[in-house]
Amino acid sequence: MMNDPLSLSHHQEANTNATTSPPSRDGQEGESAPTPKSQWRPWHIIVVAILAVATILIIRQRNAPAAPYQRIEGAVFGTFYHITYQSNDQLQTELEAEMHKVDASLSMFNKESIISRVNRNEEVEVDSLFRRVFELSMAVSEVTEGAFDITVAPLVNAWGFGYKDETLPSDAEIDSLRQLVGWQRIILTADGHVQKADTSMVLDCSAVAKGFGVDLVAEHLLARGVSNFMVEIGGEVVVHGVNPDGKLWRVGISRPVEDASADPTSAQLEAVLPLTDCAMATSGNYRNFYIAEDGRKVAHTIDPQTGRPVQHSLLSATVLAPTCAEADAFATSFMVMGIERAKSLLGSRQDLQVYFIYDSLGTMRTYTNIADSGQ
Amino acid sequence: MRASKAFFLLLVLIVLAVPVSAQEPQQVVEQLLRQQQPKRHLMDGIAVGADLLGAGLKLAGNDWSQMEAFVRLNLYDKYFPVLELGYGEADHEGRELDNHFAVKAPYFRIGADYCFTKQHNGNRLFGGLRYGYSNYEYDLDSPVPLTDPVWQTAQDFRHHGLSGNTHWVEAVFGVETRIWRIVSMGWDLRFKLRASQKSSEIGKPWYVPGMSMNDSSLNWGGTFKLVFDLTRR
Repeated sequence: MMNDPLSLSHHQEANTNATTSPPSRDGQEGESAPTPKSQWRPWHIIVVAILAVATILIIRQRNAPAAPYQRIEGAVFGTFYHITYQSNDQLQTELEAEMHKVDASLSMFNKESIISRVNRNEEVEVDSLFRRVFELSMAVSEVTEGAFDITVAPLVNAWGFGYKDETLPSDAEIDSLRQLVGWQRIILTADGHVQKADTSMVLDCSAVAKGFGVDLVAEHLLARGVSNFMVEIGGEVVVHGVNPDGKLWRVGISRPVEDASADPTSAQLEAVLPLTDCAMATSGNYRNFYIAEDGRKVAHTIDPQTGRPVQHSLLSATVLAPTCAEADAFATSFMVMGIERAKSLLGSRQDLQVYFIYDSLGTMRTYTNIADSGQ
Repeated sequence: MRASKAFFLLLVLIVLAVPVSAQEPQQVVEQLLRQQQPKRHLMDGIAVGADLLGAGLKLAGNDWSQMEAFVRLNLYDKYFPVLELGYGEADHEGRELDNHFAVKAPYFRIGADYCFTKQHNGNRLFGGLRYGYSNYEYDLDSPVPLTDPVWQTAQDFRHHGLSGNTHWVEAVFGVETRIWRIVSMGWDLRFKLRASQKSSEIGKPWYVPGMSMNDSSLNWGGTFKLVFDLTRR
């Protein structure tokens, strides 16, 4: 209405007519000159007042000092977290509470966590966090045709960390353990109960829980009105808004190194990506390099479908995705799938961007589709 | 003893009287001094000794130490073939990865030193080379489960009796001086080059007996020796 000049002129004309109609106070109708009267009406005053208040608020907002960027860090999930966020409020306690929710639901180290109780076949109704992670895991398992599987733990443990020839599990042992593995052999009922095909099956969501924890913290920050932040837990990252310099956040991808004892803080960066409003996760086989006789570096990890290690040239997989849990799950999947199968899957998933580091005839090379998608 | 030396000098002067008359006095003195030196033999002595530094590390509570003894021949008081035998041990807690490394194993080095000093008075400046070898079994374990790098699942990490061996060479530079009668002491610096190493896929040893730390192919160390010259005259 205020912006309609036609309606305003019409209204003014009506008012003008109305000022000539009443008789003058001394009864000399029509003789005295018309007294100029104000054209302001109460609604005008209200509009002006609103505009004035809004202007003052905007000016105050602009002149007010920006909220400071705060940096907090600590230990969680057996690793460290680092969070930078722009806010006047101290949020460390409530952000850690969010992380502890994930621990209480999905931690394998917490004997009282929901997943630990599920693994002990106790009667337990899962919470909403467990359900979200479970459903995401099943979806990724389906898309990756079983390369991602939250039931793979018995096989991974059988092969062991840094396995060697004299401790290789036998074919019979592998076949036996494969009976306990399979994402299609577990279901989550509508009433929140996990049903396993075999009570000896073990669920381990470690490959996605850390990323999910990052998501949960990011969701909490957004709910608190924080729009500029970076959340990182053990290398899994969510960034939103801009950094303290007002620019995109810059997130580094570490170069895979052979020496497991190397100081992680001195890791060489393979690339630095300017990012905002997305999640990033990396899965790397850093400790399990194997040098083949021809000098090639190959990585081995356990393929849930075969029950055996797969060896391929992909040394690390970094994934950008809408959520960190997805990025985490797909990064793990790609390490199992290898670079060719991963590329094939990426053709149908425009929401995923990757940065792969792989070995080619003894030389470290990279593959990425990040530039293609304009990130 | 002094009287016999004076007599010996006098005798030499008489015998060489005619030729000496044709030589410069300085040359004569040098010739006499040379003749005064006791004759060096191929097998000029044998010595045994021990490294006090390695043992001191153990007493100081270092997380690696080694007990080492050696036997050394003296050829012409110039060349010193040596065999070094030792027993090294380590018990180390890693800082970054919460891992534990342990090893106990013997080692040997064989090589020779060359004495640069011309005076044969027991003070020696020498350099030499060694070849070292150790065959060992070591333990790698972690008090807390480690996580699989891809699947992130927690796993026990306990590997005992991993076998390995290392060949290395050392360049040695040192000094030695006689302290009392047959007792000498000395120290040396050693630059060590790891020539080859066989270790488990699970992890490399943190320390190699006799070669010291295993963090680099080129390393350095040293010894502080107590030497007993068993044949000193």
